[in-house]
Amino acid sequence: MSIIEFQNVTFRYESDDEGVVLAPAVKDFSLTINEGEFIAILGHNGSGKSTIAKLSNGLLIPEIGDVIVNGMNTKNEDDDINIKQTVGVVFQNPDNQIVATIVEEDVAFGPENLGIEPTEIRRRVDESLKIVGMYNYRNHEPHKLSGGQKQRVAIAGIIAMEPRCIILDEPTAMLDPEGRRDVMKAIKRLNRELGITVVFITHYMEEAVEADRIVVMDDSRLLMDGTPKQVFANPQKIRSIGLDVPQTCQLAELLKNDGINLKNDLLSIDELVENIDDILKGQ
Amino acid sequence: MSHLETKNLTFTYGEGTPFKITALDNVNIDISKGEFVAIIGHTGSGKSTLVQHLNGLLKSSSGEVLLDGKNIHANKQTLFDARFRVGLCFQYPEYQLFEETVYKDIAFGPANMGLSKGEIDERVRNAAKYVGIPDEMLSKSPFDLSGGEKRRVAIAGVISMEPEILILDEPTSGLDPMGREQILELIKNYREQTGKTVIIVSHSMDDVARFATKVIVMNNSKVEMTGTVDEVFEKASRLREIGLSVPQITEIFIKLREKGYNVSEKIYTVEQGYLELKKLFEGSVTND
Repeated sequence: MSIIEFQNVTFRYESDDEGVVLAPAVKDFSLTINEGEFIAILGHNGSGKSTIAKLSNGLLIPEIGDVIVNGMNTKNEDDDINIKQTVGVVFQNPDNQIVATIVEEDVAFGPENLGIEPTEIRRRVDESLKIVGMYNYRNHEPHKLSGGQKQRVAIAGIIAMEPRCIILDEPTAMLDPEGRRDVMKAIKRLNRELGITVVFITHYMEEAVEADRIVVMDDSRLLMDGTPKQVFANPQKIRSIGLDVPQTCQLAELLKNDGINLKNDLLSIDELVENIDDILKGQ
Repeated sequence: MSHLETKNLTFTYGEGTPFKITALDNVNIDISKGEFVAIIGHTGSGKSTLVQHLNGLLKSSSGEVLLDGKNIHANKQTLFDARFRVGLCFQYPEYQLFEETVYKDIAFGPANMGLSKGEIDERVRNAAKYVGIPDEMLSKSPFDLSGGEKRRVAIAGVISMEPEILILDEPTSGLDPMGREQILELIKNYREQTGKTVIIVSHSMDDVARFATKVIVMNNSKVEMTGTVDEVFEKASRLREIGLSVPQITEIFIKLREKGYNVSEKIYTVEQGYLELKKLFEGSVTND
């Protein structure tokens, strides 16, 4: 069943200068996101990825076409609260998303605004913080946490609203390697254990390969849509639009050019190591 | 001879308050002319605080920063000199662009150095060339540029002061792969063409492995280790303990060694990995 549907969506931002018409940020974009999927969106800067995130829960409204969230059109203002409760968005910079001075108060901010009972808020806050591994920090001041910890608090704040789908716009871009690992772990847990639909936008190819499905954007349009193995099987096409393939793919590609009979769809370090081991043992 | 050096540098934020945090704890680093230094460390390890000391933006609670052997805080003149001889480009420098045109933005630093109009013009055009900003872009508003272009203009604004030491705090963060590659290339070319010292703060182990001649690892406000790329990345398990990692390619070779293959652990780039694996495949044919 689809949770978000983009139907031939075109969107353009308004220019600050009067009379200047900007090129569309998203052009004739169609995509069906199914309940329970884990999707990565790739594309270079300015390809339209973040606009997709903002269109997906009515933060932006399409100029042409429709965005349907669980049967509701984002153009219909009466459904606005319902839509934002169904689809939550986490942005790149955690410092811009934290509003309270205590971690648990920050996580409670969303459910409080939805008018939820205090006892239920308590339950949701505790549970959300446990999911992202920040429960022990519930009484800390957010500004003293590391970037990765802050980002996990921001994610907990969205989980506490119990959305069915979470969109994350480059949630790891500003983090160090450990922060990135922790945030990725939390995101995977949301999807695998809680069944929440996850759409995450990233520049890191090694993060994208963890998704079930990858959507590649270029020049405001959808360019590719497939499993990680399908998408990275075409390294030339990926490079031609200013992206990169994971280093394991680059290495496998070079060896294959030399006539070494590696498989075509190696993505992870373990897959490559296993395949090398198999070939060497077979000789 | 050391070009830029810190001696027992200690810095505390919020001294005398209950919120006191020691951001640098007895830090000693030593950088020679022409080196390409990478400073790595988890968030909050003290990297940015350290680089802000190197041109005197922050003044340590104790210890000193020596530029060619002279304490930069010795007097007003030495501090003034350090500001121009050591150029610092902050994280997300594009947020600091403010002039009407790209040209004026790049010219801001040289103009403050009291140079003549002709000299300023020459420096602006040179700096723009280094970062790949074409002449016709100089008259544009910096706000009409893409993220990667803005970043390059901001870097040009520091290069135009022709610092002897160029410091860049996470110059590639937030950029897409092509943008990252362009910035790294321009930094590499700048160093090769001018022979100047470059220091970058980075979270990308892959980039560090490709370019650095010296790596300084920060952990909990202290220098954890200093060495060449080889010396630092061979301590993979310690790097992971302190919240860092080794390049992806290195992981492959660690795993192959675990499986009993006699491959080098000192592999950090795709190119090195390719050559080593080629040897492994060829070797296994002759052994049989």
